[in-house]
Amino acid sequence: MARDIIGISAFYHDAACCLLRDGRLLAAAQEERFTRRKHEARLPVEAFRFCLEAGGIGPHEIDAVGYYEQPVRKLSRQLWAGAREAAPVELGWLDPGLPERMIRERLGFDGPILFFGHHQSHAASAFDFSGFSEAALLTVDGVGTWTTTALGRGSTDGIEMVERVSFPHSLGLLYSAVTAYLGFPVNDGEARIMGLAAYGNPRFLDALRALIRMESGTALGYELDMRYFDFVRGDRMFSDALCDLLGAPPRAPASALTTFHQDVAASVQALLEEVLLALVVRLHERVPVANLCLAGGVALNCVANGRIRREGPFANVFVQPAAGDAGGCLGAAALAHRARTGERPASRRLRDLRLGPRWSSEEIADLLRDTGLPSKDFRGDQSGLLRSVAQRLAARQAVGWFQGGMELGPRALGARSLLADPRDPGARDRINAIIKRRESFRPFAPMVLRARLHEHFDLDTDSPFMLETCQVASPLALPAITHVDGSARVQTVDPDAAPRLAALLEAFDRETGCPVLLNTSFNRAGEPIVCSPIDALFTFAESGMDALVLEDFVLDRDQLPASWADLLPAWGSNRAEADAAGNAIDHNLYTFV
Amino acid sequence: MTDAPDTPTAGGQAVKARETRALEDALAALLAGASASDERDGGDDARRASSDAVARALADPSGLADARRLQQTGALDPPRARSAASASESQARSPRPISIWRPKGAPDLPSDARVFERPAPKPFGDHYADRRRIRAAKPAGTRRVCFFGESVAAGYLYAPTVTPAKLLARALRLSPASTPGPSAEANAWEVVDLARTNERLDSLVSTLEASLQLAPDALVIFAGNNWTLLESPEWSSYAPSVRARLDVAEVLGGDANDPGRPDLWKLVSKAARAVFERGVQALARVARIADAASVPVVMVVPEVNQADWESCQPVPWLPATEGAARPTTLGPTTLGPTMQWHQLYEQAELMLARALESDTPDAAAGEELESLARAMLALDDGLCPTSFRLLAEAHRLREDRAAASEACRQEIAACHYATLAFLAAPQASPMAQALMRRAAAHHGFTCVDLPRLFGEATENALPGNRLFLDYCHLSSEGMGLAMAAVADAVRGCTVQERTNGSSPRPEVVSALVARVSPEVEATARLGAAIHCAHRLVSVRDPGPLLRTLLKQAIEASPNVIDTMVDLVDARTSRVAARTGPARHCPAVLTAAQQRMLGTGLTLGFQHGWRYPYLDVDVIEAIEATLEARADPRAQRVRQHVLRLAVDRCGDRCGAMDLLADGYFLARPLERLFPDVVPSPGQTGRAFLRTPWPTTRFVFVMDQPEALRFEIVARQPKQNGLAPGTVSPTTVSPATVSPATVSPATASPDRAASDRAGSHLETPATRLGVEINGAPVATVRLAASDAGSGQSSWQRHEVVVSASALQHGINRLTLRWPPISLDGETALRAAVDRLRRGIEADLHPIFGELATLRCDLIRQKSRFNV
Repeated sequence: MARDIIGISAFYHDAACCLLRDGRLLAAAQEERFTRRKHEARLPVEAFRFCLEAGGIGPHEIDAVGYYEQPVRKLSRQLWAGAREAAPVELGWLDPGLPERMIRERLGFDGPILFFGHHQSHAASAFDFSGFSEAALLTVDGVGTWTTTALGRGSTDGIEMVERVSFPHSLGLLYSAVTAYLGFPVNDGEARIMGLAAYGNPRFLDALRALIRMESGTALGYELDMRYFDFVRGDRMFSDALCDLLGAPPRAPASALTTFHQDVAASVQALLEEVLLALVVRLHERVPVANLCLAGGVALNCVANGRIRREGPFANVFVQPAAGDAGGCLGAAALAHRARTGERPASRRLRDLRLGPRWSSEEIADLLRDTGLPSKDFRGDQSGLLRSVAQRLAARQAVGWFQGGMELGPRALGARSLLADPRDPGARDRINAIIKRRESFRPFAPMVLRARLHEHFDLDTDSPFMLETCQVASPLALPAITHVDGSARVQTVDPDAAPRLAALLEAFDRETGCPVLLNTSFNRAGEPIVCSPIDALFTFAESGMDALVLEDFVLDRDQLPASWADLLPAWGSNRAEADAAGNAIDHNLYTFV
Repeated sequence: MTDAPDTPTAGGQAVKARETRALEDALAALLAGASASDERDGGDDARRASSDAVARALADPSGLADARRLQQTGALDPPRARSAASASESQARSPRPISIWRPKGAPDLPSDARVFERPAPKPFGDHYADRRRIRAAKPAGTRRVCFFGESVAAGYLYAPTVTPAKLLARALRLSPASTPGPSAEANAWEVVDLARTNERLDSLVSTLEASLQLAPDALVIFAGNNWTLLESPEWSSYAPSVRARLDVAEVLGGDANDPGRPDLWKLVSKAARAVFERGVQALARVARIADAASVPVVMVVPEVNQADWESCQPVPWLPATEGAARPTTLGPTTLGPTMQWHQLYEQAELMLARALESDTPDAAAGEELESLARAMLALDDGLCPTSFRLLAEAHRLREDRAAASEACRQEIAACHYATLAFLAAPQASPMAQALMRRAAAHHGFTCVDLPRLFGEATENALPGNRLFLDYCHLSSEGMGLAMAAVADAVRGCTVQERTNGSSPRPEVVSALVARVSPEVEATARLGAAIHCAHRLVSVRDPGPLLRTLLKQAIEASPNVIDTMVDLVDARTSRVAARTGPARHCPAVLTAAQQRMLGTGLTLGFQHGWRYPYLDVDVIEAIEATLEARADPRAQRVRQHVLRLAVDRCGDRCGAMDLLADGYFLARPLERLFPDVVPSPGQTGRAFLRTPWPTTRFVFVMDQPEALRFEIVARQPKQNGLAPGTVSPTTVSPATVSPATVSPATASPDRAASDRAGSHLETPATRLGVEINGAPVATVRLAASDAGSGQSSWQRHEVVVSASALQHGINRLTLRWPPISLDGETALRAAVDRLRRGIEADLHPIFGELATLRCDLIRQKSRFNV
């Protein structure tokens, strides 16, 4: 009989659920994709239902649930910090029994629930899916329970943490504080700082070094100078002292970005990289092995990841691709598997994140028949489909690409993607105008056939999850995916792992001589990545994208009924109104509840 | 019998008290530190030790309860917000928005040049009138009436084409017969429609105050239906607010140190008082605003549908009390008053169904039904509207209209928000009506009393389908009648025109009704059928009401038949079985919706078009209505339904999921309303819970052939207590005669159901399974008990032969076993949870269902995978 373990992360941000069957990751999804509320924090009820359906099991067949943190420890930190919330007289967070009670009463699970440390879960999520038999472990995030940075060792015997840095000293919160200073939302805008950094000169690096003190000698820890921060019991992330240090007031959200802001972004990015590199060097001294595993929200900083791999002491680096709290469910499940069986859950590296809901072509056909929308049916004709899509892309069309299981984590990797021609100098502005509405300084990422990687990018390793940057080294001009500093956050596509996506790149190559595509996530600004084909149709209608590929079917915008594209947004806005409440993220301050 | 709890010694109590005080002090100190700006070093070891200790203490239920008690005193509140005064000042500044109409142009624009503009109306309707712009300046010689209220006032189901405000404007322009022909100027009226669906008192008064920027000549308020549901949401054990739950615990359970017997009446009285006080204060504010501006107010007292609407709710937990019924026994199980109530209800439901089969009222059946209803009332003490509804039906069978009407009003009064299991329909309670009448008299408002007016117009028939489309929303005739009377009242208090003082002139009403186009009337009636199917949980079969509405729709415009068929087409549109909210294709995506557009017969949001339910009652009513007309399109309806046949609807494993998202529930609303309408911050649930002893599903067969059902179910805990826990109860001699609790004689159409037997005759741990009214299996349920080491969920496989099935729509009924836990224990457990800030059920939960799938037996079973 199969042993089914459920992993859950919830009640902070990016709630998610996964199913581990006999140690193999069978299904995983973030709750936000179902509820359509970005960063959904609530118990992942829909993701749980999906996992049970994917596993063909009922709640009575689950062996155990692993939960990604320890509620009492988290409450201790919240109490210490005097946690804030939107309705402070409510104090709902005072109840550390809530996660267990919700799992019992809302998911109906009445078996054993195992609680693990937040960073222990992060560490397991990286190590147990890395394929390494031993590795040094580094987890870095804003804050979970008390720990904000943890360093450890993973082996077949398990995971051992050798050093921790505790709240309020947090590299993630340092980065978030500068994110807030630069007028971007905390816990959402950090990636924008990373993108903005490429435009700047790190002339404030020396000044910002005052924010953090690395311990001397071989100690692995660090401390923040709390004079510059106000996130403990304050109303904002940074204090006036940071403004004084940088010599300027904070930027108002949505106001103009100046060279100063670019330089501050470059400086904090340089500081982050500097500290992380120092940490991994010291970690290697303590855990002198060839492999490094990274997880935690800071591990989504792909520029830093690139430097760690290139300049750090470890020969091999594995970054858990859903490195934020969503991925915590993987670690919790892995730890629960160990606890129940005494065995390590997975021996092979995680190579595919398309672990979410999928729809067959027949199901798509049902949907399109019901809608009456004109579409081209390529069932049984994959080459025709790919040729048709490649031609649209070559004609500078923006194409929604919906194929297979939905990705776990923040990156679209070719299952729920928006694709375009990277050679098109106008593609970035156009995609921003029609759907993404991102700041113009943010780059779009390329995907490339694995076998053709070296022809176009200065990267000597696979990058299937788009987790590090490298320099573009292509004979082709690829302006739509090349950042201002000549870098790109590349995804390599392996024909064995993603045959249809690889075949599309080949078809595009045949059509244009370019085996690279621009790939960005299939969602509108402020919304989660699409989950279902219905979400895809809504997003298609509400954006200006030119074509939509749903499995074997292609829909063209110019073939749609005239009224249809007006009516769907009307329905969607009503939907959004109904769902407006419930997003737990406070964009002024990292919410500690 | 359970063991008595340990009696704490005096010394033990002192220790406990010291621990509690220590916890409270430490918690208060930690939270007070939240605002202390001088604690920035983060290195406070003592604080860390304290926070660790408090966190550990809060992990214990008693520690959490202690903390909540401290929270309730306000000792943990942050310093008060400082901006109240400035907010109030800014509100007083002009120009300011009037509802969603925002002032346009420079702030220093002369007030008479000001224009207020709302966002573009949405294609499928929204909560507000569709008028895009309102000019502050009135056209020369025009009198302006501002019109406020809830969905009834907004013309729900007819809006935006026809609204009470538009009819009022028309009525005002018609010359009254009782006065000499008025000049053209006297007949120049403008009605500004500021009514909105889901209106609440606070925002109504704010809108009314802001509307003075429009220099109105009269203010008309048509509200009161929403008060029960929207003005006391904090008085619920499901309130999203922790603070509110603590208040509910205090009222329901008394002082934590000296708890008495949980008293539901205290809770509902508290909620009623809250509504009453809000109403009084709001109307007093209206009077002050209107007096200050010297603008007359017309107050419309709403009437509600009594004849063709019902409020059927399951009874909350009933503690055994002095004078209550003797517990009956069922094998080894003792039934307390709550289960007795359900037993009586089941008999009454059967008896009523049998009586209604007759074309003529059956006085004898009425008397029998009254006996059952009064026995139920004796048990529930007037807490449950269902008993009053049955009493009303009994009086109707005996043709006692006055008594029936009185029972209906009691039914509405018994819809206490605090004890609702389902989202009830908004209806003005007798208290709200009385409050409005009294306020009108006290403040000098002109009162248009719809209960009186409608009574006169219908010769005191029970208000029903003639004047209402649903629970409170008016038909075109109802709107016409009401607005003609409002027009008389407005004229009376503005231009001092005298009317004859009674009902409006029939020709005015006729002229107003004539303004409603056949297409609008037909769409409203069809939309009402859908809306009623969603909101009506009834003692009676809803089919006749739905068929009446559909027939009226067709009489208004036969073209609506195509819309009906399109409705079925869209409702049976199936995106292959999926888990999650994206399971079914939203109507707006369907080709059927596209066809409706531009026909003048387009269903919008207000018609319940957005909800992903199958709406099987509506589909069956459409099919029956078309068949009765020998309309060949009935065949198309049947064909659409067959798209959902089990063999065409399976998931990847070939099985059909009957549980997903409530789509296949026969009555989607028959679930606890927090599970149906989750509020922000509240989490959904991965399984179905039912507060009724039966749960009904539908499924479709093309050709009857053997089916296999997979059921994963359990007996739930009741507020954390095992359902089988039996506590001693003190009971006094029965007030219910043995005759009233004996099984009722089966009616012909319920014969199959009776063969299955009463659910209360189901052994205490058996789940009964019925197909199309015939029993096919019973399965043994396990009780939810995490301590046993076994999962409380159990999987069952039930095979159903082809002979039990039929072509087309089939019904599956699950009959849950009774619960032997007594009401007082269950309510005490609820109070214990609420004291810790945790939501609690005030109703028994009969069953929990995690999986319900079916597939054809000839297919390879996915269940064995």
